[in-house]
Amino acid sequence: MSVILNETACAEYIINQGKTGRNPTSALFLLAKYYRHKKHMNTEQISAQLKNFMKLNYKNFNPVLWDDTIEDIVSKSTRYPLREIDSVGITQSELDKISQIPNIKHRQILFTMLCYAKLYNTFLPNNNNWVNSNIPEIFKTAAVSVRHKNDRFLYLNDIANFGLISFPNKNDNLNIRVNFVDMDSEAVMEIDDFRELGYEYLNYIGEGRFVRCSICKRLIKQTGRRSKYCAECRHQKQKEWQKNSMKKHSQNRNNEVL
Amino acid sequence: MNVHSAIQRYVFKIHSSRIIRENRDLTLTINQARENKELIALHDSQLMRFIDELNGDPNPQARIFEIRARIKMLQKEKDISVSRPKIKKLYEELDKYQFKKDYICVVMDDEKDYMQLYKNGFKVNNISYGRLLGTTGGIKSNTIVFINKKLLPELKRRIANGRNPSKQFAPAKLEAYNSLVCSSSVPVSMPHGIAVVHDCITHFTADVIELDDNELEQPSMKYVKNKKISLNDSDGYGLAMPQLMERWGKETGKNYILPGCVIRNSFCKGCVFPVDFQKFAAEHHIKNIIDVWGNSYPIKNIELILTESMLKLWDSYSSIEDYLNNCKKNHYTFSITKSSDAELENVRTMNYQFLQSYDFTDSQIDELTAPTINEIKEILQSDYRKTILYTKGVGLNEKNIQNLDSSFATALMIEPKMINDPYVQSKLRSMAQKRIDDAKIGVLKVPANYSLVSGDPYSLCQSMFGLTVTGLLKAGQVYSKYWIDKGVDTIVSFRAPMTSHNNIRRLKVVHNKEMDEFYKYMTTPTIFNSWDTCADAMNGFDKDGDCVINTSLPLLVNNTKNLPAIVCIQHNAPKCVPTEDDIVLSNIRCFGNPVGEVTNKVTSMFEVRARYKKGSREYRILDYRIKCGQLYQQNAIDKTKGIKAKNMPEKWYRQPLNKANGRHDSIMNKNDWLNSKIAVDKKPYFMRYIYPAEQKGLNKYLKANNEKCIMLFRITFDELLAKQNRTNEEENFIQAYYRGLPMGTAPCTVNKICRKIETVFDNNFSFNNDVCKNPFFDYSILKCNVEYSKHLFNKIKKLYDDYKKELSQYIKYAKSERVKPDEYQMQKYIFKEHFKRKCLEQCPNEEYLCDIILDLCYPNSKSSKQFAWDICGDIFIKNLLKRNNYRITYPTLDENGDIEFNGQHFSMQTTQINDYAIA
Repeated sequence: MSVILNETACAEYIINQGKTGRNPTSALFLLAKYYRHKKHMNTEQISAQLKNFMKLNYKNFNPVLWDDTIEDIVSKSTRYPLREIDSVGITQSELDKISQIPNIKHRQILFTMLCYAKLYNTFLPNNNNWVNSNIPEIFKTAAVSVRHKNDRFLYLNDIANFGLISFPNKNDNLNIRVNFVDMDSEAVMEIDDFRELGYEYLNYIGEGRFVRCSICKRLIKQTGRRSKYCAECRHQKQKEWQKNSMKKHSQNRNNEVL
Repeated sequence: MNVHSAIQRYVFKIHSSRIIRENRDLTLTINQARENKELIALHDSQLMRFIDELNGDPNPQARIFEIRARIKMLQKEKDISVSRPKIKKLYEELDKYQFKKDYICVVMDDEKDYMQLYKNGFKVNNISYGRLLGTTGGIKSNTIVFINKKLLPELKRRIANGRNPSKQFAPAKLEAYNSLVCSSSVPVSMPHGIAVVHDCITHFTADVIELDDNELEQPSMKYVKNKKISLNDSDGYGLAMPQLMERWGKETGKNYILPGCVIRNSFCKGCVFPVDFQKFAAEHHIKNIIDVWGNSYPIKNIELILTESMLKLWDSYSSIEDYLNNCKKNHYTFSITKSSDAELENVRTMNYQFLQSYDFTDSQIDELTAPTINEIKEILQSDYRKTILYTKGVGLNEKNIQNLDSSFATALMIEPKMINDPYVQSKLRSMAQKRIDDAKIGVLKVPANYSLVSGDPYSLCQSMFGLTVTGLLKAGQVYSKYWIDKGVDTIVSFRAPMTSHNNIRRLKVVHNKEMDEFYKYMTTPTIFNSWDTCADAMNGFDKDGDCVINTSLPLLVNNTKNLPAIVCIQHNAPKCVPTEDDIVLSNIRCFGNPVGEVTNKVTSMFEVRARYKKGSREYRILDYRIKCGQLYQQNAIDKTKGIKAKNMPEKWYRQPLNKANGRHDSIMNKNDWLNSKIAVDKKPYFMRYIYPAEQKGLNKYLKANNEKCIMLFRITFDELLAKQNRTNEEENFIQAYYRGLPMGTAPCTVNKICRKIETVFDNNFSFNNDVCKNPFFDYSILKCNVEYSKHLFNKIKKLYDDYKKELSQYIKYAKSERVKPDEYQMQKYIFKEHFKRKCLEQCPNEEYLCDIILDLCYPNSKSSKQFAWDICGDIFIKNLLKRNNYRITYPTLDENGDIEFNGQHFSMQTTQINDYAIA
């Protein structure tokens, strides 16, 4: 699950759509927080709600095998409040720092890390500009693909050589610190969707043509004049069209028989 | 060792939290329980037999066999509309006999849950249950047996077996005695005449190391010369006349005099060995024997001698007649839990506990690992004949080949082309991978065997007839027919669990005419003498079914030092007249298995010790701590008995305590620094192949370290290690890597073995196999060649999809939770039976089913073939046999044979299968 800025809206979307996603525990955790902090339910009520949700939306749900997981999720939900952030602001000084780097891919990665660092700073006052998302996820969000997986670390080394990021001392700690975060100046750019940060940057600086998906508002590359949907929504739409056309076809056949 | 088991019975095994969540009243069908993994299989036991009898069903075994035979018959019926309802009905009937609704195992997730369930009971499917007992093995995994409340009073009365209720016991001990009714066992006939005799106690002096932790922070260790030792030489064993052992052998399906067997009866547990004690008495002109109650009996009327250590509650009865009358009244019978085989095996595997205390050179490690490495290389060659030898053993002959099972090795013996079967290929690959991983943790082949431990029966005979005890064996000697026949005069003996080198014994194998005659029926047990500290040294073995591994491997024999036995000051458990509450509290104290934790810490100490020079201060301290491991193992066991015992000091295995001590005294700081240096806070490297979590942690560390190395220096970590002229920053990075490793990599013996096997096989693991180059396999050789409907195919396909999903989920769970092999096998068995039943309910005809399943699993190379072999393995074997005119070709020992395996020669022999029946 990618970073969610407004968890309340996301929880409501999950409940309405009945989508458990690939990893149902993430969805359940979000719902548990929602029921506890928004709907003010107690532990038993939350457990019952989660079981009911799974019963309705998860194929082959066996409550006995899920009991311990749900209990654990419900108890943890007390410790974590719901996240409700409208957007993360990027300042001009930050954009200027990024633009110092000549390579566009490096800039996309750096912009992505900056957004993450600012987001974590908002949740955790003592975050000190650290990014602890995993590196493949940063590259995916930055829309930067590499030929070999180790190239990612070479890219980061390149950026570190500009002095704009730094690494912790511990050998096995792969967190990254962004060295030019400016939390005080006025924002010139607001990021309210963390799904395509690389595109957001390119769109802002006017590199390439982008449109927002007309269903989910995800930023997508405009490949033609008819680019309208992101891959996921297009797939859903196609399924719908197919369903409707099958329905129409069978109706026509029935009419012919009659 | 042969474990006796009769039929398997199914019972519910439910977690306490689930019962509490359902307000102690839940509804559960057998199918739901199967899906929830809340169904387990248990072997038949005295308790099961009691329950059957109380339910008016004295012989369910016969009914189960009959129903299974009828199902088998119906599988041949062509008209499935006729057989389908019948099979469904028969399976429902089978459930009635196999499933024991009156018996439930509850896994206690919390002590509070236990108290609540014990005080108030609970209901499942409207049957009320109450606590009966916790078995010795069950308690270690927090499992308690609950019984239908209607049967509870009668079962409790039977378990008490008319004992004197005012006797005092340690509650944990009484619970262990009560739980003997749950041991899986096969009933045998009543002996003609039983006598209970006093134990044979011998007294001698020996040099020992004494450990005592009374009133001390760390235990004191003293070397005591000529310490007076008292040994209960007959601790847990008794004697049986050879004719009784022959009779019992026949009753348990063996056609020989049992060389030793483990028996059970009410409050009776132990081993019996065949000795003609009547002849001994006659030779010494003795006609009568006096038992523990002081009664005299003519020895010619006695067939079984029990010792007081076997009949735990002998003093709760007034005489043997009183005990036997109570047994009769409460429907007890003698039963056998396991017995010795007629012959011992020639090869056994070592484990890391046995090897870790040796100090081998690199060439000795090569010598030790060579047979295992060769064996793995032979498996990898994928010569089907060697595969058969590896899976079926080297002892195949004309006689035992007639008992066929439905394994892939049997298929290979019938049809060598089966080596091309992708299922066989995947089995071979996983078998080789498992063997390699096992070798990395010290599971190495050596010439050895696993045998029952016995005291000197000559000493017991002398003691029970009131003669002066001399025994036939002297200190340091053993009698073992196997090693005598091999002409071996020195062996090394191991017993698990063990911690230090002091637990290993090097023993002289001796024999003379008198011994050969007196011990002639004890062909496989190892007979220990009555005059040395072997029992103490080998972690306090007794003779109630304990086993030892003996080896003659010169490398181990020459490198074993006979060190003094470690003797820990024993503490006695407080006794009382135990109430139910006392027993429940003792159960709670026994929850979990702390002995394993102590043993693991000691293993880690060997790794830390390997970092230091022999004789250095650190080395000596760690050596002392390793020896103390035995004391802390003992303490962990004592605690479960309610004895106040100390834990291993935390500073021995926890770093932060030392660092955060905050004391300013310079001497104390020096000690803290030393403790911190030698604290065992990491598991040794080889344990990555035992604990999946450690493996995952180490891999994560190595990956992150490599990635960080690229981030910092633009080269991989391997390249950095190979780099000449490293900068200071790079050097620091390498040092930090070694400091941060989550596992101990010092060159201790087992780490060295692990590295050796890794060097040979990692990155070189491939089959030298023509089959891989030509993967075509014509699966029609397994088919029945019948035509089936598409509808039937789709029904089985749905089951196949469910099977794949459920199996992969369970395998994932079992790996992450480190489910014990027994439990894993049992769940897989239940799972297989469940799907077999579902398939037969949909398609009762075995021929249709066979062809459908083959067409489902085999055309697609990526589909799992395990399903096919689980459901139709027996039909495949039948079809292969039919196609090959019931002829089978197997490898058998032959000096002139062209197949070389394990240093022996074999040739292929062909024989006719007379009466095909899958085992």
